[in-house]
Amino acid sequence: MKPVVWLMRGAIGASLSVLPTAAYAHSPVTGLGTFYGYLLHPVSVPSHALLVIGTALMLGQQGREIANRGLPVFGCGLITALGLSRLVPAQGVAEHILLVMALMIASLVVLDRRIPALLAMVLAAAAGLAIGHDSIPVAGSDTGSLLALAGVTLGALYLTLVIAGLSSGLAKTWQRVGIRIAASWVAAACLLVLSLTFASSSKHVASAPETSSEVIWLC
Amino acid sequence: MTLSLRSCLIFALLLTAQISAAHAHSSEGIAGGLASGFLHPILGFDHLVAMVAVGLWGAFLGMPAIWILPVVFPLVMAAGGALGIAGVPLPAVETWVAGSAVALGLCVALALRPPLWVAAVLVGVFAIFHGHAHGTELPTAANPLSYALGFVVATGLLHLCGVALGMLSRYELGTYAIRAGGAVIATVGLAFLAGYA
Repeated sequence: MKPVVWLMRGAIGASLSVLPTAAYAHSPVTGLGTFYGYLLHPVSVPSHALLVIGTALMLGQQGREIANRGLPVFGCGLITALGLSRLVPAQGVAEHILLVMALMIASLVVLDRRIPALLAMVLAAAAGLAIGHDSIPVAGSDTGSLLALAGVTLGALYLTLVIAGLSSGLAKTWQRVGIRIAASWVAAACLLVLSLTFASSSKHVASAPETSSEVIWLC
Repeated sequence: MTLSLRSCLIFALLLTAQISAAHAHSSEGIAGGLASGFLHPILGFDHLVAMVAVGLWGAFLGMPAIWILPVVFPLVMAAGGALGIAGVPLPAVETWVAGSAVALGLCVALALRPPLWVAAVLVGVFAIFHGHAHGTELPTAANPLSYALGFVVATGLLHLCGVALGMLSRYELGTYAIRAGGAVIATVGLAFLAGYA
């Protein structure tokens, strides 16, 4: 057998034996491993999921052209924030900021109005930056951090791509109303939790965790 | 055969272990995460019938009410929830929730078709009380965001169930079935009002 093939097999074997160890050390979802844990990060953190869904619905509702331009902009914002996190230590984004953004974007979708392309791009970039800034992996080995960054980027982009792609193809009245119904659920959930956040802070009661990354949302 | 029986026993034991684990997990509190939020409107029968009635009535009212109500209701409900979270007292919330089932059930049973704004205001008022009832539970939730998302989605899906059933109004027999359903909903609401449920 050729030495290259042996080398490849050795590299794959070594990677597979090393990955699980690094994974369990700082995975946001216990037992999944770094890459898969962070791949699911945009879904497993509710405020991220709401912001991603809201942004994707907004891009899809505005049509194929804006969705085609908005997705790379969202991805650039995400990658920029994640990349900067490697250079400058950051604390993450407070959950209520993510929720305010999700509420604003979902409200635009509920209203179902054509918005300027520039505004759609700015919102997509802001959403990408916020999610990226709040998805910074817990400090670990360089390999683990890179896997985490790759996982978050792929997960968020894939979710946005699928939802925006599906919603941009919906043209019938009831389908477009379906987009607005989904957005109204996002807006309602954000509104409720923002009310709770502000009510708690005004009453000086210990409230929700500081950053949304600390939240696990299934029971 | 013996082996098969043993396998069955092992499988049953495993299942029992799974069930025990599930109960242990949910004992953390009913106001937990997404699942408990999702179950809240479904396990509350007065909420459930009222939400289905909203969808049924929307289908009776036709376009555009059929699609406006499911979009507007969650947002108005969230406003009611915000009132509940802020501690703003509303009078007799549970009575209003049961009353909403009676009123909306009667609207369906009698096939009432008021102007859209009247229907929207009526449903909006009920939405505030339903939201208030959910909102007061929210501060005790282990994870408020997932709990809120769960009950908003469940409420919306109940509306859509009502809308889907309401589509039967295209057929004459379906119309009678839906009106009978409205009467059942009103009766359930009355039972809650009278304290029988």
